[in-house]
Amino acid sequence: MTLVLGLDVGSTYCKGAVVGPEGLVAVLKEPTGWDLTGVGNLVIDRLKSLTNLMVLPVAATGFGRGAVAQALIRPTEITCHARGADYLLPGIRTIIDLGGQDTKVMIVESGKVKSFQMNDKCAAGTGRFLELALNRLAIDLNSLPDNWLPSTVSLTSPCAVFAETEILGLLSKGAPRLEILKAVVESLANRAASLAGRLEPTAPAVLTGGLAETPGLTVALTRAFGVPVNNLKNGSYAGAIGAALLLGRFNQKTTSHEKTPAERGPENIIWRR
Amino acid sequence: MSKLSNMELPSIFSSFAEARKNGFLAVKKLKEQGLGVVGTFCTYTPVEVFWAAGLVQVGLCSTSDETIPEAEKSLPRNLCPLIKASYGFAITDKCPYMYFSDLVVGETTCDGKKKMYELLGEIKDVHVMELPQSQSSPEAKAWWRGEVVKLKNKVATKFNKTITDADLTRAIKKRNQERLALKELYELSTLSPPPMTGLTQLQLLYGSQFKFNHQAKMADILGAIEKIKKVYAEGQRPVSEKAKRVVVTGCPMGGATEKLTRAIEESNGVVVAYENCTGAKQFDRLVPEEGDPWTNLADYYLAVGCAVMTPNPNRLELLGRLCRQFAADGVIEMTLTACQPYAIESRAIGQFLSQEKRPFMSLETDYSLGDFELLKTRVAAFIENLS
Repeated sequence: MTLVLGLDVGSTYCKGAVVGPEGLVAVLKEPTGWDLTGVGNLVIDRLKSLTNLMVLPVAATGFGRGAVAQALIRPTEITCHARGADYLLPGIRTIIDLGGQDTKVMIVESGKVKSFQMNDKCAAGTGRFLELALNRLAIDLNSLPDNWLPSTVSLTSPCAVFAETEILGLLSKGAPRLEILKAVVESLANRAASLAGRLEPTAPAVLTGGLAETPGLTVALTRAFGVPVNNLKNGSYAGAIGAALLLGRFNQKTTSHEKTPAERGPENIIWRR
Repeated sequence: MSKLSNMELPSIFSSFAEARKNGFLAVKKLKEQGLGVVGTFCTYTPVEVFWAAGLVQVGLCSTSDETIPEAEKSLPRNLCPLIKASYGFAITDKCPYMYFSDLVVGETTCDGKKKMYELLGEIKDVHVMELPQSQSSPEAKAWWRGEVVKLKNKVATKFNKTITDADLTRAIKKRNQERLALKELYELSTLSPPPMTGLTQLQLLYGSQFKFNHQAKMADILGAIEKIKKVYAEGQRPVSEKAKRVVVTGCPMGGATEKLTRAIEESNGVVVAYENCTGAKQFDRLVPEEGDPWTNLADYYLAVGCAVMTPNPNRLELLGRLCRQFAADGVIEMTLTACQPYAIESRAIGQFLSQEKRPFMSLETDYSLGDFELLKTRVAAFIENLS
């Protein structure tokens, strides 16, 4: 049995996944903290003991992938999320990854990235923004009811810091916390959708990242993107799984003909501030 | 980063890397000999006019963010870094080339530049050529020829020179020789794997503009070509066979924006050609040497495929040709922050390359180094998905 370990060292969590030819074997995550190398080793050791294996080849991705010394390959999280999400839900076309410091929208085909957009130099629309708002509101994301209706209030500031000020303003006016929470989630979803403005998101679409299994988020994303966005089981491990797959090459598709460059790779990736 | 910086420029090319720095002293020397110096910014400038008058011509386009804060005291923040830096170096006297320039020649290319030239005119003798916004009509061609003649008259008066047709023809021939040589140099990268990294190519092309003696410059370029061929023939491979071949398009590069090439070449890619003003756009074509030299010169320069032109078919033509000639696996465009012409034209480039079946990514950046990792993540993801 050949198993491989994928490690996704994100800004908030370090995720690990062990994958073999038969499928996903084990997953776990630890808060990243300050010690990237340390947390990487911790996840690797825990997965080794879970699988009773002394040796596991490691592939690392995520912003902290450089800190994982034993990694044999270090692909970007963009490539890994696409591979991992397509593995969890084959045939996926749109991936929305809400990360701690990055929000990415990827258009994929057969697990390969055709185009992507990514935020930069701005925390609005990332998990960090949501975390700030939740802390301020002292409320849990799961308090959003299923199929919740649009909020009666809205956040207008595109900046994570000013949005917090705006939240305080809404609270002082007596707006219910749940309505403000809805507005926060809507703002997040709209931000992700505007990031994808130049892409053409199509179904099936899924949410990956730490909040992949939170139903309240996909309600807002579906409204903002105009295509049904689904929760993805184990979606927070999509990057780690993708990294493992790239190293293990378990489900490599063989092609009988030489593909044209456009069929092989991404096209029309536009990145603007 | 270390891997590349070690092999940045083999010692044989040091004369190119040092050219900009040494050029400062060279210009000072030439100036002391009584030669006039003309500073220019843009690929549209018909430099042959200055050469014909026996003047020294030097590029003033700035590529570092060092003086941007100073420039932002007069210019808006949301302006292209090339314009801000160029102006900043002028007002702070930090660019010796600007300092030594007796005359500065600009064109009405983009709005940012033409308005900046107004401010620059307060401290330097600035001559602005009025560039048409389209290239094909007889009126545009006639207008631009008139502007070239006006430039000749300005130069003749300012430096008290007469410029004959024969002088100009000689200058055209000289510049054509350089174009041919530099084209031969970058076309070495049609080889697979290429015999030089994209960083080496960029630094050679960029550095060549700071060599002021035609004979010496030709010898250096031809020497570099021979050396590259020789070590390649001996089996040296500075670039892996597996590296993905990238053609770079968009705004001019060099200096701070070398970071894009570094990001590509640290991510299993190699830049094989530059379809921009640092690369092929300057050297791809020749000025015809028969017929009226003024018309030939004007027609040649007007046909430069910059996004300031509407429409701009020549950029697509050159880009498509380079992709085929250099067997590009993908194209990466670099636009500078707030460069509207290139940012808007990006969509047309994407559509064109989609038809050509070449994967394409457009990146926006400026002269700061803070976004290197951001660039690298995007570039790495693009290159990973090329195979």
